[in-house]
Amino acid sequence: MRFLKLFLYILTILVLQTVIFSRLNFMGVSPDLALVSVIIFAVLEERSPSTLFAAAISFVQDCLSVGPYLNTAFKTVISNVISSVRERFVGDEYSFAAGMVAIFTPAYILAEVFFLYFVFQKEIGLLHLVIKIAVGTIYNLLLVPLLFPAVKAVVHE
Amino acid sequence: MIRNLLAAIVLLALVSSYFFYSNLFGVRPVLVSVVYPFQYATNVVWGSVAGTPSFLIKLGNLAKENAELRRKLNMAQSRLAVLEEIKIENERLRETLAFQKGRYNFKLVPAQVIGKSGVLLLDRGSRVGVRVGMPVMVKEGLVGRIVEAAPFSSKVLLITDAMSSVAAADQRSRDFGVVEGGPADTLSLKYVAGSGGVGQGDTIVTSSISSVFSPGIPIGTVTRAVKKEADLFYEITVKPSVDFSKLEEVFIVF
Repeated sequence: MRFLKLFLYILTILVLQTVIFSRLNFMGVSPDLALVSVIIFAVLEERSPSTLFAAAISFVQDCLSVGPYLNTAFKTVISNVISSVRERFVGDEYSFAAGMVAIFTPAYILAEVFFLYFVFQKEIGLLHLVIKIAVGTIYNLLLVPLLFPAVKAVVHE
Repeated sequence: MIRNLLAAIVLLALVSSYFFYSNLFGVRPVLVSVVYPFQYATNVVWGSVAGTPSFLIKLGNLAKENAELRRKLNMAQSRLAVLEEIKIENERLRETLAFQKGRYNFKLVPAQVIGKSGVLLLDRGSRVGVRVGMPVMVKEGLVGRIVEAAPFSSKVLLITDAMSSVAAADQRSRDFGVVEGGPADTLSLKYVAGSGGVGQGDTIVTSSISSVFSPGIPIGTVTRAVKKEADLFYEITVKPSVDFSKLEEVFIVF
């Protein structure tokens, strides 16, 4: 039953991401439902299931796109880092998830930009980068109140 | 520790595999086909929900708009008939002068955009003959090219994508170069010799030396063209002629 719920969650998130949320594209940035889901899942769940969830959702996301499996690589690492620090965090899970989104969205965008620069020699202006990070972070923080209850419902049967 | 190391090796292998087995032994098209029906259905529902308010507002203007469209269609058909004549004449003259046959014989197949995930997802796939490498355009200009074709859907690499490059030419000065995408949905025209005459406001079109795109398809307009004294090439920024955020229907060039 839990597997089915997870499967439906991943499918719903990716369909919404590709069909509806991609329309909110601003300067190449749109809300990343998969990244926010991975972060919330890692905050609420143990390391192994959250790593598997991160790998699964981001692998399908990569398959729906083109290019190397950056989502799979980066999001799995992000999930693992959060799993490592969550036990030491004192406070409520919601704030922790929002904080992690605020930290890892810029980190994710920076990692992507570095990859494009070193592998494909694509440069980005500093102003563009700052706007991209600001827009991406605001978008993703707005998703936390929407996705937190949904992930919680999937995690806690 | 060992588990982390193993996971890192698996991820590294996966990222590297893209450069050698880009469709992952057929796994990618299969996953695309599994998700496609849900994307299609969501797109239809979203289209009707999001389109209802504007449809109601526009309802009053429909008759007027219809008449205007009919008039434009009649004009376009008349022009098309003339152009057909010119095309035949052009081909005949090319034959007479022993030129290579023109490259303007293509068919346009319409396709709906059902989603966007870095690439555009279209509702036409290999079942109707879509193949990797086919150009995709709209009336404003070039959109990109097909990079993956599943049976019922296909993916289009946009010209603004960081991995895209298109052989291009300045319509006015005829300088050749390569249009490349950038990380912020921008375009840059590279490798234009410093001796060239590219200027702000020039239209950039696909080049006749391209093996993928038919020549003359508009790509964009030059917004900045500078060359420092020591540089061999121009630094050129191009504004795409297509608004990629508003694409609903495109044409695949067969």
